[in-house]
Amino acid sequence: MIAPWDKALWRDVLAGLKLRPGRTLLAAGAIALGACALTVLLAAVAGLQAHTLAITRVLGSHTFAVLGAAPGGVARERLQLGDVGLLSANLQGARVSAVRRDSVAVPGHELTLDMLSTDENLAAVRGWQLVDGRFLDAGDLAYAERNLVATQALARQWGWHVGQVVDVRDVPFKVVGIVDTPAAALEATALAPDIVVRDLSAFVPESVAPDWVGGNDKVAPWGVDAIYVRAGDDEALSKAQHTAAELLTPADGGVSHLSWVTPSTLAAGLDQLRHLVAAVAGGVSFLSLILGAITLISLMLANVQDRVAEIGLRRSFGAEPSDVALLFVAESLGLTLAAALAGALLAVVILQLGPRLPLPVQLDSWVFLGPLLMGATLGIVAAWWPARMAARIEPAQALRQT
Amino acid sequence: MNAAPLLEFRAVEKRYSTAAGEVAALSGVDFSIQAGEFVTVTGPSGSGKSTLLNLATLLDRPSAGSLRFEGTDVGALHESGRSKLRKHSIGMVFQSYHLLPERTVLDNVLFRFRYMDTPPREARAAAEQALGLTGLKHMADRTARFLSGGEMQRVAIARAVAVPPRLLAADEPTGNLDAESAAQVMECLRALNQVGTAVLLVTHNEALISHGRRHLAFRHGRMLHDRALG
Repeated sequence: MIAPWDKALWRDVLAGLKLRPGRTLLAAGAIALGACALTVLLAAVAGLQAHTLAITRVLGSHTFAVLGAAPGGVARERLQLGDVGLLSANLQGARVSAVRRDSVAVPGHELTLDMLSTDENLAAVRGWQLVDGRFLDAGDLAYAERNLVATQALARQWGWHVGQVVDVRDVPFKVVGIVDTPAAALEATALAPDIVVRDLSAFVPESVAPDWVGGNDKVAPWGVDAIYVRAGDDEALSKAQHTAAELLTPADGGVSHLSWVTPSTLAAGLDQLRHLVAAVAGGVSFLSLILGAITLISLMLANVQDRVAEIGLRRSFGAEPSDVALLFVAESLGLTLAAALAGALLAVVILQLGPRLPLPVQLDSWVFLGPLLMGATLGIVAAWWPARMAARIEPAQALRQT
Repeated sequence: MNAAPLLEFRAVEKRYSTAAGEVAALSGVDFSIQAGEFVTVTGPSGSGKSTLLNLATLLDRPSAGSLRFEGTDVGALHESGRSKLRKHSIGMVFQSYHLLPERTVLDNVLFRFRYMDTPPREARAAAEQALGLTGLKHMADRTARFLSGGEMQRVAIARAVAVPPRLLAADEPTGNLDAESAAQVMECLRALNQVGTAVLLVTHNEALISHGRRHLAFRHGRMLHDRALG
């Protein structure tokens, strides 16, 4: 038997593939293109999966959001503080929090600061970790304390620290805490922009809002943009969502225009994207691989036909039929693996150096293993018939060929 | 010492199935070759001499009768056993050389070791020695396709004897060569025979008969005579 690590085998493989360089290059090119598309597909699928997990983490586990009116929008219903109380009172075992977002221009900058009026439950409901100090508490809410919790990014960028008094639109606030909100990186996604907390955001008690909003006519002080509900587990979450939907149905029995963001709605959005990617990259990959496989089979068949005398010679030197078959399988495998590897590397170069794709990608070991497995499978499948033909050639007949 | 003949045909027949029915390529062939003999086989086209060579080199199996190589019934031997015998005991030279044209002369000779476990250094030494025997050592690095016909055939002979065979079977080795090249090739075969290698030379060229010490003549698949030569 020939050992796969046999140098002579790979030398034979190289010599065999050089016989028809044009057809070899065509087959290798098609397979490399297929492998490249497959690598992009796998990287995108892996990226989207990671993104799904990340965006679910942004929302918070076992958490759903009810979104009210968009800024200036009329398409959705206005959520009110009263709705928050209604849900808090009726959703047993669930924690409820609400947020209203007011964007404030920062003097001297083209930046805006998001002031998020909220209650003491928000950090716990969304599963955020405190970096320093504390989050807003019941006392802040009850006494309308002008206390503020900054995002970690904001504190780092503007040098805010706990205990510092800062002015926001000439209103003094005391920084009482710094919180880590793992959301800003996902702001680019269009899937759930309303639940994303921007880097430059600060949280203040919603009871301060009437003073704070002042002349801001965007929303009435009693309006909120989003209500978040966190339940103990998936089952409780589903039940809480059902109850909340009933409670928030308009009293006149009309159709509710509220938006509901749940882990499954986020995943569904990403699934659509994943299906699109799978259809496009998968289609390119499939067609390229079919072309590669057909070219490869024709190349291997032509190689067998061209090398009948050589096969006879090998048999006369003691090669067994299995040795002959293995030679052609090795040729096919050598070509497909090399092409698959080249295609995968090309994809990595494109993903790393090329223009940014409008979707997340993640390069892990499966992304490389997939095209190589595909190459190995294709190599064996394409070689099976030609190798069988070669092994069945009668050496005496073969040696009569000139 | 092995008393059995090197090669022994007993009532050997070879039949092929064709669309027109079964055709006998060889019938009732009886002869044996001893170690170190030089036997020439002649006959017109279709006389069965190529079939005889295929059987003698274990590339084919007889349809009936007994074919023994050093006493072993090779007609009934499993393919792996026949491959092993071909690998170690039989060298072959063909009319059309069957060299690998893109490889060097040395690589072509080394190809003889392709399915053997010989260490590379030993294989190279044996290949160089074989090239020395055929007078081509100085051409070891030449690409095979640039050689003349006579040189190609001498490379093929070097390849055949790089693993010292007990039987060297040559099928029309001078068929494509001019007179001078043919003489060189025959000289190589004779030199190998003189060092103890049995040679079975199949040819339609009656002039080559005198190189052997025995002559077998075939016609219509039957042996006409088996004659010792002076």
